[in-house]
Amino acid sequence: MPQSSTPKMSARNVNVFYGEKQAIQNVSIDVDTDNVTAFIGPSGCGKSTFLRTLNRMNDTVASARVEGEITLDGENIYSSGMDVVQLRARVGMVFQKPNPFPKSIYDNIAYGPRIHGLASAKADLDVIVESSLRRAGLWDEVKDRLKDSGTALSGGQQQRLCIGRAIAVEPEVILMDEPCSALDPIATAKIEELIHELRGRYAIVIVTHNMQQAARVSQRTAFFHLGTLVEYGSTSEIFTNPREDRTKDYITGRYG
Amino acid sequence: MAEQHTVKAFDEDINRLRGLIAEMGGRVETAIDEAMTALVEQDLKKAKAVVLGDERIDALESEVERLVVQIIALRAPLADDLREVIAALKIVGVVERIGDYAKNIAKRVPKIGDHRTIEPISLLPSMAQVASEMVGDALNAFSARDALLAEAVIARDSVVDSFYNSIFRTLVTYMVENPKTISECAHLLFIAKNIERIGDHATNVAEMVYYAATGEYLPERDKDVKIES
Amino acid sequence: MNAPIPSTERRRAPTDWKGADMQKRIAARYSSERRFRMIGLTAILMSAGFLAFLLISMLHEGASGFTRTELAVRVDFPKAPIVIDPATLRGEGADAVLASVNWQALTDQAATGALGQDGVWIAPGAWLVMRDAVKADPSLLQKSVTLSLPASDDLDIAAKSDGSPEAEAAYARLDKAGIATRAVNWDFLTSSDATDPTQVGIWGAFKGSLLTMAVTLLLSFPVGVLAALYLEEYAPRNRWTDMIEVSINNLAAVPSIIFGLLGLAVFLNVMHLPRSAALVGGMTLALMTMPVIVIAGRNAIKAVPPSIRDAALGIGASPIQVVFHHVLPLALPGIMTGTIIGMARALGETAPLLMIGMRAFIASPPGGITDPATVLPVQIFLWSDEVSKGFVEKTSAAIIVLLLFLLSMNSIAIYLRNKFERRW
Repeated sequence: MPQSSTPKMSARNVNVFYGEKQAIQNVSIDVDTDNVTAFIGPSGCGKSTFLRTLNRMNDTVASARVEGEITLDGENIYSSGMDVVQLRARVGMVFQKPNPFPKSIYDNIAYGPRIHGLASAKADLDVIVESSLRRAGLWDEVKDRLKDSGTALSGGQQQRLCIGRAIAVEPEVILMDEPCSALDPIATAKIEELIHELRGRYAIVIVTHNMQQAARVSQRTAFFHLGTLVEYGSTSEIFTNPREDRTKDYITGRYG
Repeated sequence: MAEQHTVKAFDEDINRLRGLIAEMGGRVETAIDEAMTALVEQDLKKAKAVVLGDERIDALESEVERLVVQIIALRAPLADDLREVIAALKIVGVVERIGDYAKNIAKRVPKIGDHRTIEPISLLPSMAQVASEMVGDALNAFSARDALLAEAVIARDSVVDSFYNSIFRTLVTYMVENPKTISECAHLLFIAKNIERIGDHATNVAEMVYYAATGEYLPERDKDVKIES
Repeated sequence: MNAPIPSTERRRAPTDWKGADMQKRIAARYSSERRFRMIGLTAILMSAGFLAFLLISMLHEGASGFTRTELAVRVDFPKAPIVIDPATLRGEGADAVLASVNWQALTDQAATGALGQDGVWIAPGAWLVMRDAVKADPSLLQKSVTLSLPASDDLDIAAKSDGSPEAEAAYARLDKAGIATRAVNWDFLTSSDATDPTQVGIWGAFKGSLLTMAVTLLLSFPVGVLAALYLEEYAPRNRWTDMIEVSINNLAAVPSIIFGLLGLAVFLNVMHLPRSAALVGGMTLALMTMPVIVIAGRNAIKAVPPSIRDAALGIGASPIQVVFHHVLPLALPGIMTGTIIGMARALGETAPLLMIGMRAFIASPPGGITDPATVLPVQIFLWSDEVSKGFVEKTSAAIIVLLLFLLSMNSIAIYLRNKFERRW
């Protein structure tokens, strides 16, 4: 398994608490650009919680508290010098339910570059919108109706629009929280193909309930259980020969 | 298996798969034993029965193949389940080959005629005994996902090889001394070779079982016995 | 894994879906559905009936308030004792020239001349009509023209319903002669309060209401929306914000008279703002409207799906960008609906405005928010208190104006809501 020398993001001994309850225990993990990393595990195992600590989306929950160290290019994202708004531009996120803004397709993509001042002229913005939509595999489907509302698209198109919106700000990492759970198999396949194409350009972390999907899209898989990272390794190893019994029982459907 | 799948039908499929392979293994073992008995006792009827019995083994093979395809398509097995199902698919092919060797032995029985005086014949049943036990143990190891038993089977292959070498030399010497029996001896030589191949195939099965059970490949072993050919 | 099914359950008889008992249950279910529908329909019909009753009775009572009885009076200006050169009325100082004429005497004289003893039925304020006619067209002074002058209150009532016997007799006479006619009373919409019911108008109160509402809106909308935004998006959840929330909810339920007293005590006695002014009225009503806007605003903001906030935060929008680019636009239809409901309530409010002195007799429309003013509901209240019979129809007419005002506000609310409502 190719492992780039320096990981894009790495977590060391991360603990997450919601009030008194500990949601994540002592998780250490590295994420790099060459591989898509999948987080799998049963519901409530903390995989989504951990994903949201990677771009500090947990900050919006008042009772959440994060201990340990998470670095992006060696810089601790929980240090006081890290601007959380900029962090979220660098570590983009795609959510479970497609959530385009109730604005036009163009404005959905252009919103990020606008607020971060990435394009000054309309022409620059047009270029960004087109390239983002192209990379999201949506350009051919929507190029004639950029002024239509993003919410008028089908579920799969909406989710690709959300991915396009995330890549429009040129992030370094893209976090995907069960991006296909609301989509049909064809739309899912398109998203998976998209993930495959985006690999190498962005570090991609995907949380999924669908083990076949984790197997299809990822090169590295992490299995979470009860807030701990049970096993982290190459996807083919995890799915053919997991080292831990808990992993094996989960992926073969013997869990619980 | 201590824990069962959440989806019970999956367990049922796996159990059926194991049952089919166990049945196949039993039939092949019996076929080897019967073929040897027919050879030693010159029982042509029994030999004929072995030849006919091979059809059932072939039928079992295709049934297992169908079941494996069905399990992969419908249950999407992973990890040890996946390894087991894939191993089952490969094992039935090998076991079917073993059945063919048993059939081949039975077919040669009429050609040997009443030459029970040929000395090496006495060694063949013992050799076949070991080979047939290897087949049985390899398939038991599969059912039990027992890597240790599989290793033991692999270790026993050298016994079969030694038998073969000794029979080979004896037969060659015998043929030189009794040129009239060359045709029968040639058949016996083929039978010995068949049994040796059965041992090899049992070893292959054991290797697959070992992988299915542990997820690891056995380190390539050096053959302690060089096979005469 | 699953517990085995208990044996008792296995022995259950198969359900008879077609049996008599089952049919009875189905019939009962259907009839209860029908009953419920009937009750709902009755409730709707009742409320619609009340509304229709209100509208019909108001229209019936008030429609005549928009008309007046006029008497055709022939005025021979060249013979009248006026010594004005029409030319002086075309330039500067026309008002001063007009003021020098005793129009009252002139009108009385003309009426008596034209109608004889029935000249007394000309309204006391009829001279205003004559003056305005001359002001509009000075060339009249060289002609003899017929002017439609408003009839007096008593004759007007006689024309519309039952008046005094003398008035009835006079009206019958004048009507027969073709002198008395009914005409739309435009003055009602353009003039202000007066002591004579034939001269009263609603414009002063209407303008007062507009100014008061403007002050209320300008104060309560920004404050209410910002308070709602802060409470929903920024404030930490703790005992203090809980207390503030409870206080705001209670504030919305405080009787309006208490806000009036508060306005009196704070705005007039402490801050010494002008009494009876739209400014103070608007400020008082703003106090009352703000909690409504805060509550409606918070609900509208809560209804914005969190996924939109996540989406914006996820691409690096700052909290203030999330609020102003996404949450507020999506919550705006709801906020506006709440605001209009609050404003409608404020528009109909009387008690607090009485407390701060907006019940004064104001004969001219207010020029600005610091001028003495009155508002529609107070005007209705004042007129309904008048002794003169002519005010009855004026009260109803004012109510119609108020209802139309409310109706148009609600229409705007519905229009805005439909225009800005988005699906997500």
